[in-house]
Amino acid sequence: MIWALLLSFIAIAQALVFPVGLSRYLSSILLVASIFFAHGKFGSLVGDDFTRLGMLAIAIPAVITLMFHKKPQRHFVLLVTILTLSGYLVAASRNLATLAISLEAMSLTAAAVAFYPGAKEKIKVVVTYLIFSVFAAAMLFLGLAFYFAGSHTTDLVHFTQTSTAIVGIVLMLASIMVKLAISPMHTWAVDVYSESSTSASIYLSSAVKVGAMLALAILSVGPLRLAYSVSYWQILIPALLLAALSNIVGAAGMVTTNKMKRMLSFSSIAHAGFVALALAYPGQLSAAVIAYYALVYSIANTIAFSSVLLVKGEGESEIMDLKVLYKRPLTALAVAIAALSLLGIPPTAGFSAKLMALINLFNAKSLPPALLIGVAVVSLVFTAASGYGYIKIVAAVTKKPEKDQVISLPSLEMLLWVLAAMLIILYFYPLWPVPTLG
Amino acid sequence: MSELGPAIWATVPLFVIGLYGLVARRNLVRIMISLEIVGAATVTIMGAAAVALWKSMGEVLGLLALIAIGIEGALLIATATLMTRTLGTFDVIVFKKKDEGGEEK
Repeated sequence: MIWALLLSFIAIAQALVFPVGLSRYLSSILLVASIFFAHGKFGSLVGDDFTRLGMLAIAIPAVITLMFHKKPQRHFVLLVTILTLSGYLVAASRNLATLAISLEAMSLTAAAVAFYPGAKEKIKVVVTYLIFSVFAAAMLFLGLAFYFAGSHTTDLVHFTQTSTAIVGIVLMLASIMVKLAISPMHTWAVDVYSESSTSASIYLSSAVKVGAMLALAILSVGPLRLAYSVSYWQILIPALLLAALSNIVGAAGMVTTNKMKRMLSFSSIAHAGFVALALAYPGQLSAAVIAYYALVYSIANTIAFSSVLLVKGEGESEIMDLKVLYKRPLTALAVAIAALSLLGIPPTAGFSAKLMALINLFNAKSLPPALLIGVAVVSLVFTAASGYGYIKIVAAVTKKPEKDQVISLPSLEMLLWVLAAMLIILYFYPLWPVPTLG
Repeated sequence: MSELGPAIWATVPLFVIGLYGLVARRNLVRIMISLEIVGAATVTIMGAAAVALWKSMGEVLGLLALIAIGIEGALLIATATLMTRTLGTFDVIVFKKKDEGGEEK
C-alpha cells in the first residue's frame, strides 16, 4: 500500500513542478499505476480487491477530467490529483477515523473543484456545496465522537453495545447520506453538478459520489453490521425510506428536464437511492454490492457526462444536441450503452448491480417484509419511470442531425468505447470484492 | 461510561443549537458560527472520552475534527467575503435570488 501512496504523492509533487501540458498526463499515468501497487497493509489502510476496485472507480473519471479538459490551469490538475488521492484513502480505510479524515479531505478539495475556473457565477455553486459539505462534516465528526465515546474504539471489528455508539452510527450514516445526495438533502447535487464546468461535473458526480458510496460500504461492513447483529436494525428503516424517496425525486427530476447535465444530476440522486437499498442487510455482501455498483455507476456516468464534453465542451447541452453523435456510430453506441446501464437494462452491468442491490434488500430477515416489498416496488417503478430520460438520450444519438458538426476530441471517443465495452464485460464477469477486516 | 455522561449531556444542547443554526439561518457568517458550535460539541466529547478512557486516540481525533471543521469554516469565511464583494450580502437566499436574476438578464 505504501508504494501506491508514494506514487500518488509523486503525482501531486510533479503537478507542482512540470508544465500543465505534461503534468496532466503524468498525473493520469501515476494515479492509474498506483492501483497496481495497492497491496498489503499500511496502518489502517489496506490494499485488497475492494480497495483496488474502489481506486479504479475513482481513477476513471479522474483520468478523463485530467486528460480532456481543454485548457486546465495548474491548480486544477493539482486539485484533481489531491482529490483522487483522498478517494484512494477512502477506499483503503479500514478504520472510522481514517475514513472520516479522508472523506473530509475529499469534500474540501471538491468544493475548490466545483469553484473552478473561479468565475463570479460559480460562487453560488461553491456556497451551496460548502454549506451542505460543512453540515455533513459536522455530523460525521460528531458521530465519530459519539461512536468512540460509546464503543471505545474506531475500528470496524469491535463494538460495545451502548446507546451512545448507536447515536454515533446514526449520525455517521446521516452524514454519508448527505454526501451521497439522498433526498431530502439532494438539492446541492442538482445545483453543483449542473452548474459546474463539464470537466468538474464529470469528476464531482462520479469520483466524489463513488467516494461516498465506498464510505457507505465500509460503514455497512463495520458499525452497521455490528449494530444489526445486536438487533438495532430499526436504525435502517429511515435510511430505506429515504432511499425510496430519492428514487422518486430522481425520476421526477429526470423526466421534467431536457438539459443533459441537469438530467444526469437527478440520475445521480436516483442512483444514490438505489445503492442505499443494499444497506437493508449490512455486511460483507452489501459492501461488495455497493463497491460493484460504485464501479458500474462511475463508468456509465463518466461516459454520459463525457458526451456533453464532446458536444458542448464545458457548457450545458440539451439532450437533443447529442444527435451530432449520429455521424460517430461507435461513440453513439457507447453513450447508448451507458444510458441503458444507468437504467439497468441487460446485458449491461447496471442490470446486475441493481439486481444484486435488490437481492441484498430481501436478505434482511429482521426488517418487516411489507417495508422491504414496498421499498423495492417504489424503487423499481420509479427507476422504470426514469427510463424516459435515458431513452431520450438513446433516441437523440440515433437521430440524424440537420447540419454537420465536427467533434474535436477523437481520443476521448476511443476511451469511451473502451469504457462502454467494460460495462458489457462487467455484466458477464461481475466483481464482488469483500473488504478485508481486522 | 458513567464518567462520560455529563459530557454527552453537555453536547446535546450544543448540537441542537448548532444544527438549528446550520439549517435555519440564512446568514453565511451565522452558519459558520453554528458549525463551530457543533465542532465544540465534537471536541468536548472527544476530550471527555480521552480522559475517561485514558486513550490518547480521543485527543488526536478531537484535534483532527477541530482542524477539519476549522478549515471548512475558513473556506466559508472566504466565500462569505467573496459573496459580499460580489453582491453585497451575506444572506444566502438573497444571494441566490440576485444570482438567478442576473442569469435571466
